[in-house]
Amino acid sequence: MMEKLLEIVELTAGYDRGPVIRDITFSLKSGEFAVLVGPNASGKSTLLKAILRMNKIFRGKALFKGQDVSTIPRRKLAREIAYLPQENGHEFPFSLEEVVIMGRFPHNPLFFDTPLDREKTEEALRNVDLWEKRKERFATLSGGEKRRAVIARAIAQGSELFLLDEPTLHLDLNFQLEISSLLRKLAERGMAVLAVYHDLWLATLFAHRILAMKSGILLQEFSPKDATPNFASELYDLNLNLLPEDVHNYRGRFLW
Amino acid sequence: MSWKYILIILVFLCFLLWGLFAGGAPLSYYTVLETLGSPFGLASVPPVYQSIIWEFRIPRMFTAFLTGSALALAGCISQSLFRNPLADPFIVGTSAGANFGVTLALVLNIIYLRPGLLALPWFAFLGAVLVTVCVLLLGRKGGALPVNTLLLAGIAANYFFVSLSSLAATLGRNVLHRSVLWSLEGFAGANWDTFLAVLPLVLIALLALIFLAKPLDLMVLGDESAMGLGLNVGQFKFIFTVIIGLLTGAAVSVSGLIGFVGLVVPHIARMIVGAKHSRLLPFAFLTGGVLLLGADNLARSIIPGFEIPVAVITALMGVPFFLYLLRKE
Repeated sequence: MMEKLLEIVELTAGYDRGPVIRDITFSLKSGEFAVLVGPNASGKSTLLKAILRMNKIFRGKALFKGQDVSTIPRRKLAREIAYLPQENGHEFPFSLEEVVIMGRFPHNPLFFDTPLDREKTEEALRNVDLWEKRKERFATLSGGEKRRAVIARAIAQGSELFLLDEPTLHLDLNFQLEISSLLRKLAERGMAVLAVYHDLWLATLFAHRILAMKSGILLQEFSPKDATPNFASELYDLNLNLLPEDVHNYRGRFLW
Repeated sequence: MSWKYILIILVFLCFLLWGLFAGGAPLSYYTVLETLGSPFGLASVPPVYQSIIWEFRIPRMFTAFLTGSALALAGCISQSLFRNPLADPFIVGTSAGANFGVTLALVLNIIYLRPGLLALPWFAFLGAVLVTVCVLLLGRKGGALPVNTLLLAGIAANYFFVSLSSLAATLGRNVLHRSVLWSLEGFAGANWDTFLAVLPLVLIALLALIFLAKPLDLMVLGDESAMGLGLNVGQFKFIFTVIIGLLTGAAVSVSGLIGFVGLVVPHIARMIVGAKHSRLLPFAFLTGGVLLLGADNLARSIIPGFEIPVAVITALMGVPFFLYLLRKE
């Protein structure tokens, strides 16, 4: 049996004004690509942030390799878990390479970059096919390249668990497929990926597992094979067929 | 990379040479050379020349350099901390604070702290640091320090302390006139004492920044990304704001209010060496120093026998560049 990398136990978390998510329990193994879906304000981002203790945990706990994350110092936590928020950020003239090497901060916060930092950065850039563009300005890259660049930064971080908040935000369909397939590849290589998605079609195509959240609770948890158009309309309170009947025929047709 | 540094250091040396000749007393090349050699027994010159070169012009140039460096470093930190390329180091209210400190000293008629130690610079410095601390306290929101709140707290503190200064100035006789004069006097009063007063602060900040270059890189990414990369964001915002307060406080205490150096130099430096702070900070340090040294040389050589306030020079040079940036953004 594969090791449980992340274990969430009856987690209730939120902000000073009160909890947003309640009694969430699930676990994630290495090599798994899990996707969080659900309407806006269902608590998906809050859950990711709670795992990184960026907000307030009221009850329950998040365990990384059996250790409560609230006892792990922030920089050590960053070596274990990489987090990509929705926005790529900033217009300052950093080069692509300089953005990616920032992922080495948890390993080396000092002034100079070490040869190991540069080696890991090269590896990460090659992983996302951006090595040739390393000297270009980050701000001038296309939306898809920017996303790949910040994913490279997370790879350079050397963490085993990736948390991503809407990695396909603002991207066109091609880039959405590309990024999703990249995440799947990372999972196949043994990392654990937990990403927030709004596109049920993409989630069904690429994920190993889908976690559906609504109003702060974990509604259901299932394999994409069992995804039915019914589940989607229930999740969003819509009497619409949100998932094509033949969606399963497409699984595996995109390379990952 | 290295030729950029060689170039800036060459410009620095040229400006130093120029500064030896700039000023009210016209000295010939030969006299300047002789005076430079005189402390080493290589020549003998009248004490007045020695005093002009060794007690006025040289310390003044180093003070101007250090002040420019301090403002440039503070500007880099401000822009990265606020993730806004149009932020300047006075954004956290330091200029109003320094002004308030000076006004207070004038109203209370405190000229010397002890014989030989002028009170105004210290009051300016303490005012600047005091307001920075106020801004930090006002900007706190549920334990965190959101950038927008920090910015608004800075604006509020600015208005508040400017009003207090105005009130004090209208009540106290002659104070307004002198506080305006203070804000414009530039480096006219600089000597080795002022240089030595600023030096440790700037050196400490520079040393601290060696450890803070990477955290500053991360600050640019935004709070969440920075936290995700293991940075204790709240703590570092506090540290950076304190450093901005110390650097600008040190700068205004010796030179009055000099605008645009802290705003413009980080841009020039970023254009030349990029945004990564381990390269940006050392280069901005040099560029800021060289720029203000040049501006001060210019201030005392444009009109013979008369000094234009150096703040006027930096504004006249800075405004066109600033407008260019606005157009470009």
